[in-house]
Amino acid sequence: MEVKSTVTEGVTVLTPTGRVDTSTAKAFETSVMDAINASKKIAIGFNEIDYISSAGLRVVLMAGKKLQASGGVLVLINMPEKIFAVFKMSGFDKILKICSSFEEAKPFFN
Amino acid sequence: MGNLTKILVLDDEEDTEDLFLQKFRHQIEDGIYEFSFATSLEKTEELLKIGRPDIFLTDINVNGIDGIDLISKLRKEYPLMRSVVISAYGDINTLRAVMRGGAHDFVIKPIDFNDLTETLRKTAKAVDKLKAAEATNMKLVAISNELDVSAQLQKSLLPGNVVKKGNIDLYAENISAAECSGDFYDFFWLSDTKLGIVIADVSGKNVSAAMFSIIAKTLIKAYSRVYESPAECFKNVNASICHENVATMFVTAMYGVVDMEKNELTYTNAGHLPVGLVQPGKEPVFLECDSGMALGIFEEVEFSDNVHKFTPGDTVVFYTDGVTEAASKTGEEYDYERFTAALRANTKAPPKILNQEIVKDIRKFTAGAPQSDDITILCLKYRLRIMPNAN
Repeated sequence: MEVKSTVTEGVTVLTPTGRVDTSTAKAFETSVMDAINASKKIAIGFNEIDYISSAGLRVVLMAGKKLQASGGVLVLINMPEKIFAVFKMSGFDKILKICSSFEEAKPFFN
Repeated sequence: MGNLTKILVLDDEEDTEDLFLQKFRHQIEDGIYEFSFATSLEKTEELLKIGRPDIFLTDINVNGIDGIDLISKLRKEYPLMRSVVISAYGDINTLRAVMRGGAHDFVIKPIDFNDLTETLRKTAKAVDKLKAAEATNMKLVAISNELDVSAQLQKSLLPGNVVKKGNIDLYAENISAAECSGDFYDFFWLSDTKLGIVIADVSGKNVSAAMFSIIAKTLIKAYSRVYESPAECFKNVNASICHENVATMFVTAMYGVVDMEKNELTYTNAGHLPVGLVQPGKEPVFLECDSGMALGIFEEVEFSDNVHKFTPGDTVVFYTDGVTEAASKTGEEYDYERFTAALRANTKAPPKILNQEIVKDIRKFTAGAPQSDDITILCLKYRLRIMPNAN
């Protein structure tokens, strides 16, 4: 698992790759928390993820809560059907913003 | 640095001791080396026991003692000590024999003290590393023992594997991937005719997950006595967990109440996987239900009760994603298609057999790959009640 980080139009876009599971969740958490400390506008792209376990979901959830508390914005983008099913199953789609693309997510950051 | 290295020298030449003390006087004064000397095997063994040297420096042949034999013996007795052999014979075969005997290094006679200094420095460094590794290893062993105890404690909190009473025939099993499990199941009698059943999966694994799972398990059981409706029970469990959940952990869970008077299962879902329904000779299905959010995330969440009316022979299957997401050697997931096939092949099986057949099928699929997640399955077969006064 690696986390690519780019800045587009003032939004930090994080793209984890491979498997986000118990063994890699800590590294994912560090990358996400570093990004949150540096920026209030975060998008996480899920297009290069093969698998996300509950430990990974916890990191996403924590990021959402942290940003919400500090007046920031988190949008989850480019989510394949299979990953979306995981978010829907656990009910996370109700409290996290999920958009199909960065373009669609843009209004949330303005 | 600051580490004192203790060196035992075995040599039968008389001036060795004086020579060493002279050549290494700076290191001795600075507390880097401490030397002891022996000229016989008896003295060597005594000093090994008392002094516990880090480095054993020996001539290849001292008063008829075979240095190579000796160091290979000492290597086993004192695994944290390293030996350096002094040899008058510099030929390759002798030196190979020395190294094969377990020496860390060698020096050639007559001793070049610059070379010996460098050799001792390197050997001391190797011993330091060895000791550090051993210390880390000891810590790991201690942690591992602690984990084993925690795992035992957690296992002891599970209610057992079997319920057989009235119409109910239940079998449940938890196979954890780490020492402690993030999954748990539970069952408890709410009255003579009502059995509560729970399956849950905590985010993460091992100790943190186990601690959280104990909180969730206790709360569910406690609230199940207060609220008859599973949905009401979960609403209150959720609020309690949310209240002080700083670590943002969460748990997906399914809780059902089997009512033997009404012949039905009332269940509620907090972000967990759908219940499987297996009926003799029929295609297995997964019960559609309204799902609330996983427990521990959001304080104000509503849950809903869903009802399944039992027909005799029905088996409901509660499970965790360790089943559907079990990964093969190539990273493929077991998934619902294979899971359904395993259920289809065992529609008439008693719950224990059904449970074991699913696990067997997963094991076959994942052969050669490490178990990545906890696997928990609870099967409850609802049998036809034979009324004592029926004819």
